[in-house]
Amino acid sequence: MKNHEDIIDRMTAANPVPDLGMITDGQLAELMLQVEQDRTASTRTGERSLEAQEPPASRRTGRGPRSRWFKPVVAFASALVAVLVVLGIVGLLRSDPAAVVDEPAPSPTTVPSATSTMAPGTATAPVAPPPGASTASSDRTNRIRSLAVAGDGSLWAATADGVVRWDLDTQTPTIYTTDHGLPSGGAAFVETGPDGSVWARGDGWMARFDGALTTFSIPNGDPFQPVDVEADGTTWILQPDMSGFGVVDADGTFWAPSKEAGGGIVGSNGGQTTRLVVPVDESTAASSTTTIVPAAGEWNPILADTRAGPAAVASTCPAGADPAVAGSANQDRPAAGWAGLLAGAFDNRTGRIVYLDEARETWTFDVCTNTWLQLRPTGEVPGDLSAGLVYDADSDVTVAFGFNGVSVYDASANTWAYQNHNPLGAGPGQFAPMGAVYDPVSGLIVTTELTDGYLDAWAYDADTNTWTLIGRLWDGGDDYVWFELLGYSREADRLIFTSVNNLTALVDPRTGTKTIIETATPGIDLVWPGAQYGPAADSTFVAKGTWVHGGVFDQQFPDQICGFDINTSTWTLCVPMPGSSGYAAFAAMVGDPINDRLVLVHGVYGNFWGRSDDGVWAIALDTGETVELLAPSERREPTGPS
Amino acid sequence: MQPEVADQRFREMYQATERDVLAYFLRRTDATSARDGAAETYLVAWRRIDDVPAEDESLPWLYGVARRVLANQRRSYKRYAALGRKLSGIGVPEDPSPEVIVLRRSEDQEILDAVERLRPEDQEILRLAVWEELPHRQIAEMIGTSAHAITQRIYRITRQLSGEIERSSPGAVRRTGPPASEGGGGS
Repeated sequence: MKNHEDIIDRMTAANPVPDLGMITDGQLAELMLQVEQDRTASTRTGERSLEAQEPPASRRTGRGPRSRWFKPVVAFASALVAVLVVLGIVGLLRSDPAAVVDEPAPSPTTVPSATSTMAPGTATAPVAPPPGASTASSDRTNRIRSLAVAGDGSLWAATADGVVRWDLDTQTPTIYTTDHGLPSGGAAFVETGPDGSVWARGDGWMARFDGALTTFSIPNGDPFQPVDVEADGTTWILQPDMSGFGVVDADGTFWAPSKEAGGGIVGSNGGQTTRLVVPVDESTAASSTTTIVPAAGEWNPILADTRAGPAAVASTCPAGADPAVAGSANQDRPAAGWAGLLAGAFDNRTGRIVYLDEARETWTFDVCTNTWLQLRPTGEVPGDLSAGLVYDADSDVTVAFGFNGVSVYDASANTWAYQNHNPLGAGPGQFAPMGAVYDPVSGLIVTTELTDGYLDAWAYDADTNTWTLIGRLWDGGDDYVWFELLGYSREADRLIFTSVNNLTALVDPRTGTKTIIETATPGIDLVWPGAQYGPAADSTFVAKGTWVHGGVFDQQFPDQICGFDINTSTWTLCVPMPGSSGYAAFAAMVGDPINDRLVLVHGVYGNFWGRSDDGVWAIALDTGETVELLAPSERREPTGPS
Repeated sequence: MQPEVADQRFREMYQATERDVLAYFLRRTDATSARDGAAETYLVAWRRIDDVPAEDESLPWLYGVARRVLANQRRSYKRYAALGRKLSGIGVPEDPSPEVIVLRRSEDQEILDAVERLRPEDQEILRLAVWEELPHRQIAEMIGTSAHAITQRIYRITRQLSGEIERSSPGAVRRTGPPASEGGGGS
């Protein structure tokens, strides 16, 4: 935590405007004057008729956004401005690239090579687009990642499967996919160039649409890195804009990705709403379920080796203990705090939850008496966790996967032992394990190395302290779905992955075969709150609240905790978020096989650092009823997440 | 929305956010560009007043617009600078960033330089979180992901920055394994 806090502290100290009080009244007055002038000269959307009746004297007379660069110019180069105006290239100085149409398109000399050129050399303002399809082969074409308005007024979208040009006059799409020359189907973003042409970027490529489609390879495969495009001394930057706030076209219509089921684009203009959805050709539409079998030798069969030893399991509460009765409110309890630091796992042998609090103290929660006990183990507690805690049943230890390595807690000896500096996080800038589940067949723990470019599966053997690379699950490449390991279903013998793109993937740990299911999927990332695996809960539960607030998920899983139904391949095992205080999630969700319930530790109420209170709840898995096992020491007002 | 209602709504929004929006630009560019950028941001808001979210949600919406405005500013400025060099040889600063006009403490400069080397979206996420103190949920809405992803991503970013600074510090020695003092993996 020290490094993290140090960086935050240093960033805070380097804030050029740490206090809003530093802004002077004079600055505010200047701003207000400029805003009022701009407003007076502007046309508010949906109010054109009113604006048209205003006297000409009230209209803009040459200042505002389009001329704002004149001021710094005048400060030290007024003569240059005059030259520019005389040359009639004022448009070059405009900030709205969609309106700039009179500059020759730059040729991207900094981009190494054109890998395919359908019609090279047509470097003029946008003309008729190259041929494309009018129907999509998949509804992934309606998953919008970025929007741009071209110089010719057309609306362009980067999608999960190709780039789409919308003629806004006729509301007809033209779709460009790999069939039309794109190196790969998924486009990360689109931007409008200085000449009004449209540029798209994908994984390892970018493309220019200017009447022809020209593609270029880019050595840096990260689609979110900007690219300097230079020509004749002019430089502009092709850079991502993933804000999702949409764009305004020449008519003042605001276009943004639709949050409705089915995706597409929605435009609004003075109360009038238009939705653009690419029609999907059902005859060629891909199945909603895709199965991918790894090639021979690409998947290490180590998980198919049935070698898990027997595991002791605590199965009942002692006589006299009533797990439904709330624990004492006055008891000592772990320190709540930033939820990203908190983690828990159910120790099957002791029948208690092992828990690490914000102060890195080790506790157990007795699910029969609902009481906390601080353990004060010997050895060094693990550092910051990247994949939480996992109970290794046949080894009878709890393994902590952290950014700096692996630590193991032995409850019988009450000791923590640092095991190794794992190969995943072995240096600054590298990645630590993300997501970890115990595999009851092999007795190994499966985790992943999740990067921006790929996702590898690894196995960790707590008995021998060894790591084994199992295989590559995904090259980030074509689709930036970034699957993340959430849990393991014993019932189906599948690892469960989710993405933020409404995709759930089931992976056979023995063969590496992937089944990708297009279904409404909670977009919880990076395995926190922790995935739940246990004998009593073979579903993967994730919390849903404001933590998955953007995009379509907001409508799909409002304030619920949902599990994946392996029988229907849907996330339909949902129960309401317990409590009335607006929890966004829980720091840990741990299966309690003794009482057949899901224990929810430390409710997160979602402020700046995802703070949590120190209460404990439980959900009965058979009835969905919730019960408060331990009231928080400080009850918050039920105002909901901030 | 009726004009008088729209005007009242805009004024209320403006008064509630003017310092935050201006500060957003001042943290990223020079004073003149900051004022221009803030003004353009509010112009977009005025034109789109029907789409501006209510109350607490309006500020992140404005930040989203501001981010785009700033990107366009820098793009235009780079193009202007290049054109200026071509036409008259007049030197123009490459980027009107606050670093040009503010004399910083060396340790501040070190972290800011490291941040500049991050990918743009990571830079913005970190600044929104630390400088604008925007809740992760609202950053997530802007970026189009979950708040938890933002939380974890910030964590990754700080880890990356820490490594960057460690490597760039004089006398830094690249570790090949866990030092004994980190036996527990603590960072």
